[in-house]
Amino acid sequence: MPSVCFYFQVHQPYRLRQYRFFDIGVDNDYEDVEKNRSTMRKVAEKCYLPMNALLLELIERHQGHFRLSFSMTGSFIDQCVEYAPEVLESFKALAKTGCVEFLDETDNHSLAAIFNEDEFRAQVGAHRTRMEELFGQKPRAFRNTELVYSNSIARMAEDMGYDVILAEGVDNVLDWRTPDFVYHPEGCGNIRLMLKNYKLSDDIAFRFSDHSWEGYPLMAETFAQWLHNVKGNGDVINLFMDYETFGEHQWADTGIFDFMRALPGKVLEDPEFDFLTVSEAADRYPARGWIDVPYYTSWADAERDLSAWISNDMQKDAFRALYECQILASQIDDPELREDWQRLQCSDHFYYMCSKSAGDGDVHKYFSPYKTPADAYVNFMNVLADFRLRLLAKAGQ
Amino acid sequence: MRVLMLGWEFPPHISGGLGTACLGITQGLTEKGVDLTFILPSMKAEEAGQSETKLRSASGVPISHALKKAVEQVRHQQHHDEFTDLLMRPVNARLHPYGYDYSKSIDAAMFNEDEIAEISHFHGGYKEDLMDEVYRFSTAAAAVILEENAKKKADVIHAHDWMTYPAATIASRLSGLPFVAHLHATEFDRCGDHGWDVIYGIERDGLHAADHVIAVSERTKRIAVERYGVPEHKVSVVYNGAFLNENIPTFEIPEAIRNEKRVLFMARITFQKGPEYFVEAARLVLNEMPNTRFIMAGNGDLLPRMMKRVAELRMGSQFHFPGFMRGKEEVYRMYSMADLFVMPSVSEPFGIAPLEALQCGAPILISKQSGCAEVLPAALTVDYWDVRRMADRIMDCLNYPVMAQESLRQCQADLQLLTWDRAADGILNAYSHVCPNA
Repeated sequence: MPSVCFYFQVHQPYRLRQYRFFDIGVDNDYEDVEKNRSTMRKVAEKCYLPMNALLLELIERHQGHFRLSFSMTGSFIDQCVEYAPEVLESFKALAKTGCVEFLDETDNHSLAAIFNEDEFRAQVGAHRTRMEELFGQKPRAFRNTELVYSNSIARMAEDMGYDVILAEGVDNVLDWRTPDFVYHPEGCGNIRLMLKNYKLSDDIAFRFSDHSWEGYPLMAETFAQWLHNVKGNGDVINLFMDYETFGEHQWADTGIFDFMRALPGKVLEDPEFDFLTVSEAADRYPARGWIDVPYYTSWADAERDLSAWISNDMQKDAFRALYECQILASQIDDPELREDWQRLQCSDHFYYMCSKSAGDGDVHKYFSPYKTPADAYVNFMNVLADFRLRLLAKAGQ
Repeated sequence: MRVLMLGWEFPPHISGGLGTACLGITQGLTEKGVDLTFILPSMKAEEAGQSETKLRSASGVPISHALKKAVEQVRHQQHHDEFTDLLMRPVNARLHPYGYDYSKSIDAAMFNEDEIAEISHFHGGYKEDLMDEVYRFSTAAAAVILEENAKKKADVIHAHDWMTYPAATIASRLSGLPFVAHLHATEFDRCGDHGWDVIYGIERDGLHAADHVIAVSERTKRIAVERYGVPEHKVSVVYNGAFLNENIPTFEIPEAIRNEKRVLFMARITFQKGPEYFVEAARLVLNEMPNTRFIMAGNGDLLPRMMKRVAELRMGSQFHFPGFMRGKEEVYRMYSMADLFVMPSVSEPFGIAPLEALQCGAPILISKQSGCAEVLPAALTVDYWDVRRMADRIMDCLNYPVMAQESLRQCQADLQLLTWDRAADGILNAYSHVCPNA
């Protein structure tokens, strides 16, 4: 009796303003408030509000049979509070239905897991507190930023008490296996691993409106049929994607909302199928094997590795400079500095510095507020220079 | 004394030091009572009124059929001039003669506006179609010169850099006025040994066609003689000046960065300016003095490569790229913040930037391959390629500010002699080689 497991990632970064050399040591206001506000408002209108309303409608219509999971970053929540409080309310309404699970992740959408374990644990802890406060749930499942994953990250997650961890179903990791089962991470105890079925996920997230795709136009019946085809060779189909897929990456006029409105009904037409949240699926199905990932994987770009954030020298230099501040930053108890320190670690800053070309390059460009990766690097380093001066000044006091 | 001057830049439209130099030269000459008209490809209408110098744009000047034909003849003739060193004696034969007296072809019809063949428009600056503009400018500017000369007889045509040499050559031939070529930079300075031979050709033709050449330094004179084959006696050296009366505001350095040391590179980020040597030297300095801040201000084709290299050397947190400085205020602010200004030019004919740095109170370290080093004997110098020595010099200046201040003080004293007034004297002296009135 296979289950469909939807998990949506909700995130908005704090974008930096144009921070000039002359600002260093003078101005510690780093954020492009107007850009962040307008983006949040735009996405709220196009995606968060209509999609939350639709999900609530589906949950009510299917009387508990449509269930799903969310993970949202702290920077998204903070911007909600500031610019779109009604969005947060609508998420709380979803939480109250009992059909929605909230996952934990790094609060600031950072890659601390690969640079600094103390920092990583602190950020995840902060997120856990937030989830309890906001939604009254103590998350049992963990997904790391951008689905960055390895054996060691799974070990850390287990150590922090999580029962489930999510990762990308990378081909070279799975080899002949399918992502449609629950697994164990290599070297861990009882924590379960859920792998993204990237083919079926990307049919919705990326290919849905692609006119040159053979599956275009994708109908809910067709997609439900593809899910039904898994029967007999899988327990759980993990459809993981950015929440902004609905209405923002795929605009309303592509028919994405109509598609989602129809999909649960079509899936449930086969009585053997149901929807589960991440932890429910991990509880119901046994782990079918051990997955060994001694290196980092992620859900980004064609490479499905860290190269979206850390491949060229600008990115490596920026990470070096950033985590050089870690010891000082962790010792200083100043609310403003702590907030800036968290926000500077956001992986998006490094994503903008990526200089890949072709298809993935276009995706990076779509999200970037900068003209070029070099602009992103120069601006970030200016901000970091000022931040470091403030840290040193504070430490000297 | 009436001078018709041809240039490609004039403030406020500046790309490099050329426009600044042109401004200083026109001011210096005007103060000496020289009647001067400055012709450039284009300008905004309001600028003509603002400037003390009489500015004329070559855009929109009507060019008659007759003038066009005459220009064609001059261009054609230039090929034959390759043989000027031959003694030619016309013989009565039915062969084409080698020589041709083209000045006879000038007549009043040339200025007859009823017969307009074309009107050229220029956007000026250095765009993709620079060569095309240079070519068309040679006709349009010649028309302006002939018109100005007809209005009031001039004494000399004075042209700045290769973009205007073809125009000056043609105008000189058609008007009979002497042509003085001012050499601010050569293709060898800009591109080393891998310059574009078309530009080299234009420079060479211009320098040979000129009746006299003004070089901005001994270094540049040597290049003209050795690499362009210009006879030594035909070249005068006239150093550029500084705008000593400039009112430079004082800038307060923000408290948070007052204790930091800042080393500044500010120039076009191109081969000529040697940015890569600055980057490599910065790494060596940061190994010893990790809190030094390096700044590479400006724009240019090598900027992306420099950014990449700085990232590769993992020093982006101490090495900043603030981009092109907009307006004098930002330029002065940048100089004023610097504990040391470095100009590691691979080949700098003169270099006005170090003079500006000195005026703002920044000690300077310049490459030995810089023309201005000839007139700033107290300046700290280093071979542009010697990055270890450059790093040592930078560290000396930062560690021993007294030493840097002493060099600064002496340089500033030398700077007081580098006036545009003195440059104007030198230029008038150069004119005297070719026109008796001067």
